[in-house]
Amino acid sequence: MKPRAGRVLVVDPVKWTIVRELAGDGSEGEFGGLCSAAHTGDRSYLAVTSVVKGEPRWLLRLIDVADLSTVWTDTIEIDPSNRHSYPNPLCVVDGDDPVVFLLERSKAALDDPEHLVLWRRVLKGRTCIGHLRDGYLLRSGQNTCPHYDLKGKLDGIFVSSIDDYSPPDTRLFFENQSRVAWFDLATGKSVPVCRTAEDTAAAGVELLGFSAPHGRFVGDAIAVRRVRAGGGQLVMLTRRGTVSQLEFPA
Amino acid sequence: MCWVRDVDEDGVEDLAFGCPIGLGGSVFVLGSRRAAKITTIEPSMQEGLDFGHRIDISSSFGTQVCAVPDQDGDVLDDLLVAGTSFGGARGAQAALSVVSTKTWKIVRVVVDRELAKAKSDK
Repeated sequence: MKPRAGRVLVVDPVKWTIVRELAGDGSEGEFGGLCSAAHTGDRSYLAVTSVVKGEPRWLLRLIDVADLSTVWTDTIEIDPSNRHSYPNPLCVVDGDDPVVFLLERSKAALDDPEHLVLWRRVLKGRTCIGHLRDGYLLRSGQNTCPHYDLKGKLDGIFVSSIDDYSPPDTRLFFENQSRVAWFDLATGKSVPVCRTAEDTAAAGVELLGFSAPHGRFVGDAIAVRRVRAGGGQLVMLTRRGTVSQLEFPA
Repeated sequence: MCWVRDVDEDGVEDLAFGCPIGLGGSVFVLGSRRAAKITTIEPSMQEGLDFGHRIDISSSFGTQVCAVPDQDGDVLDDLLVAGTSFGGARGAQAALSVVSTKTWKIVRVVVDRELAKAKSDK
């Protein structure tokens, strides 16, 4: 299937008009397939993914929102069977510098379905900072969420996955399960913290990290699991496991 | 999923999260202190929505949610909800809906510039 070109639209929040449009060059498709933004003071950065048409490669760009210039571009080689497994960028600001964490599948999903690689990209270059396995089938639908300690220091990343992987050219879905792991940036180790085993027809998981008790939301993060009937379920997490679950019917 | 203003006035920011499936999608708003549902925003249930673009039962309303400063002049922070819109010749387009956190009504919809241009050229 021919990839769509894709665009990133910048909206003026006062006039409510689309003021800028970002697009890749002619060799790229699905520009803006995944985006992650970070802000510090008056500076903003945007990490954007795109694909190279006809080739098993992804591009990851960091864009300075002030002038929409490209700070750097990385080319990511992927296994052809992972064509639809997006590398998931997480853009944060560490000190004054933009950092992009990238969750990526470097091996064929069918050969090694539990394996994901976490990269850290700074101005100087990209380095692998860890691997996630832990017996979790992290096959597709990955999401990442930064967690800051009470002093505001980035101390780790929650990683969630929806296991809705289907083999290429089939409509077969193995499972519909959600999983969350904690990746500790200090130790470089990951720990599984949450697994929803029952069939929930999950359509996505979002994560929201926080550092202090927030009403009844006590822990380190909230994962939201959506269900087909329009209701929702919140799962409250700590780095060591699930605290509680709340169901909300439509 | 995002924190929103203290809607139930219990001293703690509240929580909104989107469910972009089902009948066009919806957004839940939960009180943080009791973890109880405050309201559900469902575009398909809102009457009189006419911004030139339909936010209807196929809209994936709630794909992303984000708290934004006041947009409708009532001084209260509002909610930005991403989804899709239908209208014009180009079919489905990315759409941002501004939702009042006072009335929980959609007060504004912004769509792709090309769709807006196509409509203004008619």
